[in-house]
Amino acid sequence: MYLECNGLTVDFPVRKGPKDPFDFESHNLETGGEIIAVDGKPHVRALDDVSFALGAGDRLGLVGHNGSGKSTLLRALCGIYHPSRGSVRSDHDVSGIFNIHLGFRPEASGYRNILLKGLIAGRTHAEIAAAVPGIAEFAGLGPYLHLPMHAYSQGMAMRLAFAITTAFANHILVMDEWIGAGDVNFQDKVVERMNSFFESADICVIASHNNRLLRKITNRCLWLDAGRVRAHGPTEEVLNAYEAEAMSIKLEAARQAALLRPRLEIPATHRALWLAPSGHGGLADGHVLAWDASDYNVSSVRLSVIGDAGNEQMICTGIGRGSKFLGPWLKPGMAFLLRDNVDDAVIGRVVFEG
Amino acid sequence: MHQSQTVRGASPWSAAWQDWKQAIRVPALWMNLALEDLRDRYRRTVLGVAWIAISFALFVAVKVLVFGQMSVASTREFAIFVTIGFGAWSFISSMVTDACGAYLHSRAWILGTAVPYPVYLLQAALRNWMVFSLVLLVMAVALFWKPTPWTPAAFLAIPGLLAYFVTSVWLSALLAPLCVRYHDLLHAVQTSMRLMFFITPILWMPGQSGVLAELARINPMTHYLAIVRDPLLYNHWPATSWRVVGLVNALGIVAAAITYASTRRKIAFWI
Repeated sequence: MYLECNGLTVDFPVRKGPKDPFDFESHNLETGGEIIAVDGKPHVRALDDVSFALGAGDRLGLVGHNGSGKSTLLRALCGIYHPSRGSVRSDHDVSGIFNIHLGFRPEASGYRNILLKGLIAGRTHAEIAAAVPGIAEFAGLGPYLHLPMHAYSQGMAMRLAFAITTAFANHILVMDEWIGAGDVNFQDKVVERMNSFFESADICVIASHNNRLLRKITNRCLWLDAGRVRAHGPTEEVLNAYEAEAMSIKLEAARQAALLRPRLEIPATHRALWLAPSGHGGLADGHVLAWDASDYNVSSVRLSVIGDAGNEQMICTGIGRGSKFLGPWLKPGMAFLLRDNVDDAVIGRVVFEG
Repeated sequence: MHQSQTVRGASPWSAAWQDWKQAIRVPALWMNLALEDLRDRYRRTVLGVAWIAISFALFVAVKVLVFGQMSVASTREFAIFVTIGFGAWSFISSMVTDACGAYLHSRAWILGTAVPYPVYLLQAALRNWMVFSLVLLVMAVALFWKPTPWTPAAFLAIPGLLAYFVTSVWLSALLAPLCVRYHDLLHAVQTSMRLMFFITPILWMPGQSGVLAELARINPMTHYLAIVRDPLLYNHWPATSWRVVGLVNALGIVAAAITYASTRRKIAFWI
């Protein structure tokens, strides 16, 4: 069992109507791939020299901001987009779920859509009929399966799409990011179904903006940036780097904001950081560390605790106003600091009295 | 079903051949898709697909009533002439238009699943054959008033229908990708089909000489109609028309093969 990409490059022709204004000189590079000329015609390089190899049981997560090439990569893996250069190889068919509006007949009933999807996956009528009860049970749609799909809510259609695709998947499955958007109950079912899918040593590639979901079901991650591989490795490593960059972008924004609106002097009468006991709201007994400096133009803060050896250890980061639950590790005498991320200045300090 | 191997440098001809082989192996898929198309069109109607036969029968009846007054032929001859001619025409004309839209119609599927494209082409062709089969029923009933005696020559209309089938497949393979690339073509084809209706002998009989006879002779559509209409109405095999249809089919198959093979990798980007 394998799925591999070798130097996969996908160029999209830019379809420019005779009257469309499109200025190739001043393109916005923040989203999307690079604009290049192929045979003198403008193309967007959606994927640039992407290589990786997955083996049995691998679950790859794709991360990257909008337009970084995640969906294009998934479609190329499925054989929907043909590579401009490089190749995609696998020893099994690749099934995919992209969008509930793609590959379904909205006017047809849920049952008819199950039949069509089964036929696409190369199943016989008997095999499809045998799979129907399982799909109906997983999707939990009951009598709705007799109704046309356009009568379903977004969430119901999503459940059905996911149930159908996983039921007919041929060992290799790719999924686009919307899968992380369902309700909590559905997401739990997704995680459960995915995990059973993996026990059979199949391969899965999933693109998502939901890092929590990716941490639960993937073992490796690939970070795409403007069509290029930015990082590829174990999930935790790649996601930490990805989140750190997102953090540093936020910090940069806070710095820019601070240039226009510098921090105001915080008067001694204002309590910027305090501790309060907490025993309700479903949390275990403990304390809550709360801070508020937003009225003084502070938009990005960092909280830390002074350890026994006098070393400072970060607890969390946040915006100008917020709170953080502290677990049973809290001991009397511990000191907490609130720092402005822009210039690291200490703007609040509190000691736990016990 | 899916391409498990996408290898750079594979010949476009063998890849195209593989597509067609895979598509032909799953007739249930394109049959069900074509059936869904038809259901979509007549969903929530009481009469359903019976509308196809009803509207065709009414159209022909009114045409015979109005234009029969101007024709020199006997009413029965003119009635059968119009029924067969208009029936065949409505198939060809809707087939040409649907061929243009075969990929555009399946845009969501092309971007959502890795089904070989001939499935969508066969779906478009089959959808039209489903409609045509109901029209053929009305035509069969109309032949009850056939003005000429029945002879075995009437069976010669069957190879005519086979020629239609061949045409419907290559038309889709030729026009669908071109219309995805050049949207203007879709409108150009629709407009020219509307014009063709008037310069094709459907409501008028070409006669032996004059401008109309010449117009009919150089119009390939005339010959397409003749290979089905002549055996049924006049019990004869139109050899010249068959040569024209054979030539058009041969050229069409070559053009369609080249177009299909050279565009298959780009359709998903263009659509």
